[in-house]
Amino acid sequence: MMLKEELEREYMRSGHMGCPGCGVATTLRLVLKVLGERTIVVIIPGCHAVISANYPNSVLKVPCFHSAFEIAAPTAAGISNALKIRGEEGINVLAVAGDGGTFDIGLQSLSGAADRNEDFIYLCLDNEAYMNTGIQSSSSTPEKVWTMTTPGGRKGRKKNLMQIIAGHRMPYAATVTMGKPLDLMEKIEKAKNIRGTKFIHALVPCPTGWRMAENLSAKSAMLAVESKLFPLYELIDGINFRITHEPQGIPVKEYIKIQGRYRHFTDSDVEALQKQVDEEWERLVEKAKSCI
Amino acid sequence: MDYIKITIEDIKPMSPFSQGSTEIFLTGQWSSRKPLYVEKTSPCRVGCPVGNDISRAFYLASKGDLDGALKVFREENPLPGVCGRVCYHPCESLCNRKEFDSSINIRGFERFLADNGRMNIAEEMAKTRKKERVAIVGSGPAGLSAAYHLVRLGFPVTVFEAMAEPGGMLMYGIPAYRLPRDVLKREIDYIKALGVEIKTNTRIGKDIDLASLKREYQALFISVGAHKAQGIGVEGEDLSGVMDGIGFLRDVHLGKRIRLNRRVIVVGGGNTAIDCARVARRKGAKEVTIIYRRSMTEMPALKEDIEWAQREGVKIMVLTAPKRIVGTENKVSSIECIRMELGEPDGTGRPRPIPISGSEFVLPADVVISAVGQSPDLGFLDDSGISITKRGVIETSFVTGTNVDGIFAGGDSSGNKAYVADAIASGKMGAFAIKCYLEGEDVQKEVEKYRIMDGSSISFGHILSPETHKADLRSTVPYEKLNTLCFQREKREDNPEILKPYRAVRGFGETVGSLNREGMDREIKRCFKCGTCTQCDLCFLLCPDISIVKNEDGYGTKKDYCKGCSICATSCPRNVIEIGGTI
Ligand SMILES: Cc1cc2nc3c(=O)[nH]c(=O)nc-3n(C[C@H](O)[C@H](O)[C@H](O)COP(=O)(O)OP(=O)(O)OC[C@H]3O[C@@H](n4cnc5c(N)ncnc54)[C@H](O)[C@@H]3O)c2cc1C
Ligand code: SF4
Ligand code: SF4
Ligand code: SF4
Ligand code: SF4
Repeated sequence: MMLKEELEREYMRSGHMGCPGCGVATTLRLVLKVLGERTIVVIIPGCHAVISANYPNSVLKVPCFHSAFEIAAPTAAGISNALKIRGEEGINVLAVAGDGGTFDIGLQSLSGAADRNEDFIYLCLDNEAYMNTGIQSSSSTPEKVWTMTTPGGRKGRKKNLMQIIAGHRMPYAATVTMGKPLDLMEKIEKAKNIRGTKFIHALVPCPTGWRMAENLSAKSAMLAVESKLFPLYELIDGINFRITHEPQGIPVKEYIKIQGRYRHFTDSDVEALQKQVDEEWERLVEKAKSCI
Repeated sequence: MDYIKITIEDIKPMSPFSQGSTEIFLTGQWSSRKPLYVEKTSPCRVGCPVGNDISRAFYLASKGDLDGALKVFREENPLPGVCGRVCYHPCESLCNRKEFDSSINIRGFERFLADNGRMNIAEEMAKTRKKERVAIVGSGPAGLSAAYHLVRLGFPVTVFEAMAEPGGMLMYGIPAYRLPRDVLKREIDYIKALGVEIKTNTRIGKDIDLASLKREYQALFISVGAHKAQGIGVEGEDLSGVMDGIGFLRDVHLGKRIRLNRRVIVVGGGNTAIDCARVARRKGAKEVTIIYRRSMTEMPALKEDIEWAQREGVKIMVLTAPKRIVGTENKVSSIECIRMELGEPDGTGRPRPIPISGSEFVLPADVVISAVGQSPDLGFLDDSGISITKRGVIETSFVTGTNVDGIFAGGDSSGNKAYVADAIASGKMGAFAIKCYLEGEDVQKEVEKYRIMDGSSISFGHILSPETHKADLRSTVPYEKLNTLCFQREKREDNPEILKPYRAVRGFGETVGSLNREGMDREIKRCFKCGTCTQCDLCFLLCPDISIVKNEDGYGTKKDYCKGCSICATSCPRNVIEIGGTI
């Protein structure tokens, strides 16, 4: 449980340029609440870069370093090592990247850093497309979903990133979403206290790119969890799975029907998606069972 | 940032460096829509005739403040221990949780608090003492409620009661296996401790006449109940062995020697009939049969009580009506019955029972108890000028006023729905109407200020402590407005059975027990707390624009930065936030 003061402290400022209802802003804000003042943030191109600074003004109340698109992880690793060389203790280094910067462009460098088990937290803000450049599809975009570059719907399924992460046997990895803020904050608290590479996969609703009413952004994240489409779990050492939230199991249709990017889905598309979701969930439950 | 030994000079040559704050951008100007925190009335409260602020009580209990929760109930209800046991709990029928898994055990909660919470009498006493005196005739739930609320409003109150003990039907009607008398006495003692004077053994019309009461008191509230048994209206009713239900229950309570060792027929389908049958079993009757002329669904008695009666061995014959009571040597020997079928709805909205000719049959019987209805005994009002309706009850307006200035009436004697909670509601309304009358205020207007939705009750919390009662009484929370994605399905905790039926019929011990602490905690957690802000922080945590601030008594909005996205309002589990302004 977080202390009241921890809950109330803020390391993000109002007045940023995020769209109304922006999920990136809330997610980053929640993460920083837990990490606290002694944190250095590495930012690469993505929505969060647009939000976090508007030269010469900064949204963050902690130091922040803007790096290149493909090197969020090694930049954070470098800073982390530099701090160690200087004898600085207890400073969290947080690399923040979008799905583009993680699933596609930064994957190789993340893999390298994770392989060396560098000491930092990697936060992937996954809004399932390149949103700030105008909604182009990434390898995180779900199958058949509309983006500007996939007007007829994307071909191929969303990359299963957590499987790739698992292969690196990192000490800690977890899925989170702003829709379940307490779960998110508890996981960040854990990550903060583990040495080595920690990976946080955050599903981040984007009202603009998901073609969704802005008031529904948090609710869509809750729907993703409660429909089992985005299960919340932890992954210790790449092998031990622990489900952290038991979903209500509502139909996945509830999640997709509020988003314009799914508007063209036919009944059979919905059915196929539901089947996929159920199967993935069963697989996860199996894995979690064998890990207790 | 002084813990990092990097100066701007170290960085400057490398890259640009932002030091300013984005707070110079008043992004709140992007939209004129802003959130408003408005607590609302929970549907359970709308359903409760007494108007208990259930959601608020659950909220306080969830913070561990059981005494505070009891205080919330007592704000509206002088008899939570009684209602927590015998109320027909219409609150639960409107409970939002019913749409999600199953309704909350609200009655069990009320009982738990009454049995376990503590009240500080000194704190509850009225701070002022007004000079106008009020007399109340009858100490049933209606009279006790009027007295309780009047004394809290500062008026000296005297209750006149014909019987030796106060409580009305709670004392002389409802049997102890459903309502132990120490529970009732404790609640009446509490009312007395607040300053209500109860004069027992004083029948108005006999010991004191109404006119002299009128001279001595500035206002009267009449709540004499309905104690005159209606006959079944068939041949043979004067035979020995035929008794009226109310009289039977009263005699049992008074400890008169009654033994029924053989076959008892009870005529009727309400609370009185069920209780007469269950008491008959306890008084030795081997075979007890209830005959009721409509079907099971129309039976006015509570489903759970009907089930208890059946499990205690009471037989129920529906669609059956008495035709004639047959006797030998002036003593009941059998009852002739006739089968009925249901026709079109009658004036009460229930289907009319129609006899099926030629379907007569005979049931052997040693005792016949008639429990087909009661009417008020209003003889003492004869010269008062108070008008009585055709149905034989006191004619009153919505706010309990009679046609005579300064005389108000409520409960069963003014034709109220014959339940404890409705009697209490009319007592509350009476107390408030009397206050307005004595202080020269416009009753209708005042009532509308405190009325709970369009119901029969008003919120005494809002009347007595407006500073702490801010919930909007004119808006409620429909299920669709809750964000149920924040909850998980959970099993309902019912009150435990503490006596098995075969043991229960051996005495008058209470059959249903209180929830234990663990069960209660699960129900407390399960309640959504519709319309009440539980300070769960969800709105605060979800705001992308860091525009919700926590302050001492809740939350505020930074209008300069709120972009009006409405995430806070849409996500609130309890529908507390509204979005104001225009787009
Ligand atoms: C057997 C039985 C079981 C019931 N079970 C339930 C139940 O489970 N749930 C439920 O909600 N309701 C139940 N009820 C109904 C409920 O008890 C009544 O609706 C309620 O008590 C009515 O309250 P009241 O204050 O109007 O009248 P009463 O409770 O009848 O009280 C009237 C009082 O006025 C006194 N009085 C009468 N005339 C005079 C006079 N001239 N001067 C002075 N005093 C006078 C009477 O002695 C009595 O004490 C039951 C009723 C009965 C009979
Ligand atoms: S008095 Fe009856 S309706 Fe009101 S809260 Fe209690 S049980 Fe529910
Ligand atoms: S969930 Fe709780 S607050 Fe809501 S209606 Fe039911 S009892 Fe009342
Ligand atoms: S989200 Fe929680 S804290 Fe905010 S208004 Fe609703 S109940 Fe209160
Ligand atoms: S969530 Fe924040 S920005 Fe959105 S309407 Fe509420 S206060 Fe305003």
